[in-house]
Amino acid sequence: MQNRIQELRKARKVTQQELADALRVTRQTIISLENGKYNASLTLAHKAAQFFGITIEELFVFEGDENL
Amino acid sequence: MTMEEYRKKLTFRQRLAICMCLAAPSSTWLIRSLAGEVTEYARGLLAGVLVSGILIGAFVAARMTVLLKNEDKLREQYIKATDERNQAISRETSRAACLILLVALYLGIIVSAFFSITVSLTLFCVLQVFALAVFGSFFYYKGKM
Repeated sequence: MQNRIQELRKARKVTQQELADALRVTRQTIISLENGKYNASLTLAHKAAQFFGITIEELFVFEGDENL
Repeated sequence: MTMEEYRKKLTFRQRLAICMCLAAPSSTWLIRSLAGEVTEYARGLLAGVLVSGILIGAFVAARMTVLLKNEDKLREQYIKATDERNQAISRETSRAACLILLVALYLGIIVSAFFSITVSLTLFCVLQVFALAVFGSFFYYKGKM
């Protein structure tokens, strides 16, 4: 699963630490999410989508078997 | 877990650590008096348990006190403790460690059987207890989720 976290974060000039503080996770989690090493839980995905003011589907790109 | 719940958890840990510090000397004395004459090894083991109990208890109590008195450090620790990636890492670590332990025990039972039946049987008992703990935990969480 890919995501647009880095793209949206940079577009809004938000640092990784600021995003981490807002989502109440560590900066390392943001780095792992941006690198695609870690997939967010539904709760974190919801919080991230809320932070950027978009839907989960717009923030996370579901590919292949991840779709019905 | 909310920040307030985490604070309560740390307060509980702080109290537990203080109790551990206080209980270590008395429980060691109690064990020694109940056991009567003990071997040199048992005396050394008890002394080790006493010293480590006090040191660990004091360390944890001091750490909890620092965290509970400093709001910034508490928040930082709260985020670290509740961070879902850290929790996922812990879960994976436990799973991998269990698997490694299981394989090591299995191999240990086979290899030690050639040298010492006592060691082999002890490892076999450890394996049984381990398996019971795994099955117990599995059914507990199966019922919870």
